[in-house]
Amino acid sequence: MEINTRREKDIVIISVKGRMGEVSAPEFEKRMNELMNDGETKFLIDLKGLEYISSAGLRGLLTVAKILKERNGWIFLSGLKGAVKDVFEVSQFISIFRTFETVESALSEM
Amino acid sequence: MIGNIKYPAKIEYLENILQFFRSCARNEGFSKRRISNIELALEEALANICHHAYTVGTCGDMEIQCRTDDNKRLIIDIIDTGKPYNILSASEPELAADISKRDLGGLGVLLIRSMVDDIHYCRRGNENVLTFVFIDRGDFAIAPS
Repeated sequence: MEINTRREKDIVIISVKGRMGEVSAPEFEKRMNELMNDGETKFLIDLKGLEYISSAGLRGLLTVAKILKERNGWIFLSGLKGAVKDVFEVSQFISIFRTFETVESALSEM
Repeated sequence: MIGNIKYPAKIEYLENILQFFRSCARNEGFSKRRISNIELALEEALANICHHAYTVGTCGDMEIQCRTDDNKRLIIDIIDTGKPYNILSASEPELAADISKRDLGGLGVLLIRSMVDDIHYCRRGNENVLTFVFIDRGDFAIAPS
């Protein structure tokens, strides 16, 4: 799994590529914890390049989202498609996260 | 298609089993998206074995046995020799609409049930045997419930 980070004003945009399963999900959580410890509270996670996500990946996202909610921050998602979108729909995570088609459409709304 | 593979029940071997499964499934006419669905169900079941089947300090194996039947159904048995446990008896999470109310648990069994066409569990001697049945090979990602 590849994680790339950039900033756009006070929003951290993280693009995740590859697979977020049992082995790689902790990597994502670790990166998120580092950024949150640095004081970041606004995140856009671009999942366009993500091919696969399991419950471990969903749990990681939910854990992070709960922390951010308590800090009055947020985490939005973009680029949901294919098998990853299936998983978000079945688990109803698609209703609990705000999602956008693309990073650009997300940023244009902020 | 017939294929069996067995590894110690540790997360580091999960990918070995999934890779084995992927190469078997590609020959059976499953769409890429469907293979991804099946893999997910397998990963959830196998991860559960790695985390919970064996008491801390001991380690057993996790095994998958794949076959196709006369009706072209793909049947996968997931086997471990850990303590008796039927994942199907686990309760599914409450699909609450709010981040703060949503629970972390129960996602595995929910995802498994949604990805397979049929599912059975039995205890066979000292083995837990969880059987997945896949009929749909096509682009329908989510199996009808």
